[in-house]
Amino acid sequence: MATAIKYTRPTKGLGLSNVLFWATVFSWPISLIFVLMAGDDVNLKYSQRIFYYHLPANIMCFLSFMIYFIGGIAYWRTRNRKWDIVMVAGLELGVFWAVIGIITGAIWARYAWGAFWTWDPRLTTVSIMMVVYISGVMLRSSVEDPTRKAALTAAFGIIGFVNVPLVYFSTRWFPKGEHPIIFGGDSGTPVGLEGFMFLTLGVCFVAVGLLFGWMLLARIRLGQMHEELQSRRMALEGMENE
Amino acid sequence: MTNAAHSVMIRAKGLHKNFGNRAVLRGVDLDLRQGEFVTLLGPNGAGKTTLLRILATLARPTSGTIEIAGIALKDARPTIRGLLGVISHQTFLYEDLNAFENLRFYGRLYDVPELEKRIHEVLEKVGLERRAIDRVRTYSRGMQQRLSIARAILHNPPILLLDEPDTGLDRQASNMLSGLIHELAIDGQERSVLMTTHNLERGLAMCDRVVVLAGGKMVADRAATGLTADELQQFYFDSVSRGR
Amino acid sequence: MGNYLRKVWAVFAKDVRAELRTKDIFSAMFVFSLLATLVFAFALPGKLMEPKEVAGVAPGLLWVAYTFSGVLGLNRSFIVEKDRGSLEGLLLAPADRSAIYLGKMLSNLTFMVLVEILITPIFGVVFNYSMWNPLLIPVVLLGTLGFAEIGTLFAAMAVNTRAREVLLPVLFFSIMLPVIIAAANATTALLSNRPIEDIAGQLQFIAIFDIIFLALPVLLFELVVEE
Repeated sequence: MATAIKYTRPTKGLGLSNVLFWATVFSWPISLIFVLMAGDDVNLKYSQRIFYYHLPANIMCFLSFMIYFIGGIAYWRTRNRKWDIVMVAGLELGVFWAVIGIITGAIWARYAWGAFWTWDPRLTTVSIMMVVYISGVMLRSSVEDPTRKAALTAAFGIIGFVNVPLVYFSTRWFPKGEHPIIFGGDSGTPVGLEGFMFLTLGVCFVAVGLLFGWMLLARIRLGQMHEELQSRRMALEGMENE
Repeated sequence: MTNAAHSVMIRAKGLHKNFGNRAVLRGVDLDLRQGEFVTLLGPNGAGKTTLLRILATLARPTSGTIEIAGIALKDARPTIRGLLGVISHQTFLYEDLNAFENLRFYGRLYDVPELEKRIHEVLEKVGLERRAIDRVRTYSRGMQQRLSIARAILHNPPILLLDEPDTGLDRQASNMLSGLIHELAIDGQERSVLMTTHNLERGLAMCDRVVVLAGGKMVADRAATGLTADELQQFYFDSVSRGR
Repeated sequence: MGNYLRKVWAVFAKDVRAELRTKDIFSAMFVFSLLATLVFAFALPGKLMEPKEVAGVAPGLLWVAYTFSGVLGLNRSFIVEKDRGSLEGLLLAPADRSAIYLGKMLSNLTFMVLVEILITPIFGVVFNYSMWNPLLIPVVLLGTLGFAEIGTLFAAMAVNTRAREVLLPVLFFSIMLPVIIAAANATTALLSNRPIEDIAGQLQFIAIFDIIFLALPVLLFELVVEE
């Protein structure tokens, strides 16, 4: 008995994913123009501009890990495989944005402080987080059984996310760094942002956020396609046996 | 349940189990009555072990319901585990502890009353009382499997789940094991037994009913009375090929 | 509750009894931490002359020795269960699965603490530095409790993966970093004879870590051991 295999076409036209893609394509050049037009910082001169991407990248990194965490909790409570797709998307995007955040941060640090790396609390936290989540990727890749894979990913995601504030808190026992505090705060080197700089930051947030949204949807779609491929392969094997 | 002698000990309905996208069980229904010995046959990969692992609470079904002794499995997993005795081809024993210590440990986990007395009782039953203080490491495979049976019946479970208990045993040990299992099944009270095996002949010798699992579905279910080994062989291959 | 604790105790007692008989885990952990200490001594010969220098590096090295030997023991504790399928035997028992976690956690904690009690004075002798300070006891105990809590959960996770022994340290160290940072910092403060107020924050922090990561594995253990 042959199973009818239905083929779902990838969305064309005004799918959310396509909207995000084109919005990203348009918003990035605009954000770049804003960044180039923003005034030089008095002390940091030209290098300060990378900050407009650095901050949003780190926020997206955190957001990704939060998505992973929420997916983990949901999987734990429901054991529904669709949450596994959400978890992977959060995990992988988180590692990606952590790397972007660290690279942009290191470039900034090189010009602002003369060294690519300092053991500043925020830098330390982000780098530890990146290591944690890279080990999460390793955990996933060394499990065969998909159910177990999802279960272990969920448990690790929950533990890893709860650990983040603890990591940040523990870095106070590191020698003090000099990461600038952008908004408020009473330690570090405050960096004043005024008028146009705020606007630029906002534009960059939108650009990075759109890219993030598009990547997230793409990764989830990829996960769904992977699942579909697996089940079709199973269906085909089933037919061969008949 | 008016008639206790025929009450249903295991009732599984519409069990599905997927490993990722691979469907291992595709809607299995199974009833096991009190005092009944059912042999579960099926080719490799049919889902026999998965079914037993689900009944033993080691794995969760993707969908479907299980009632054990009238209690829904998902509501009372720890309680239900106390009603089950599981024997698999793995012994679950600690090789660096002796037989007595192994049983005492499991006895504590199962809240067995008058534990020491009970341990001596089951050790005698499986013929190991004289080796009770030897480390399990020094036991032969057959002796380990006998101790494994002692472990499984220590808490006097009304249901036994046996997953290919004779794997890796030589003929003699295997004969002895069959005798032991048979004895346990009729031992005083009405134990229900569900056993998977590759050995059709041996499976038939002990059971009241044969069920065949193929491709994740129950493809046959019939009483074993009056069935000869050859007939069973034929019946088995017919039902497996029909199931595909 | 009493019933639950009896089962925790049964798992713990079983582990200790098996270990007393073979001493496999304990001897491996102890010899490893001893070798680590000697390797530090040979790798940093110049640092051993000046007490000031020793004070700077010794606490960190001590915690490295603790954690690495701890991982060794954690790995064994579940591989032993997996070899004869006894982990499944445990999961079949009519006990809440968190009782199994707690029993294994306590036995792991015991082995680690024993190794630490033995290795710390040896470490002091090798580095020619007094390791004795009563306040070190709570720091070491709280820190090790954190190791055992996370380590036992992760060992149960890693034992079901392809990489097994290799994966545990990767998972374990990345999550344990906050405790290692705080504990090593507190140890430095103590061994430089700084007042107790200087380590109150660290102790509190590790205690909070211990509480959080006792609660989470208890809740999550069933998820990671089931199929």
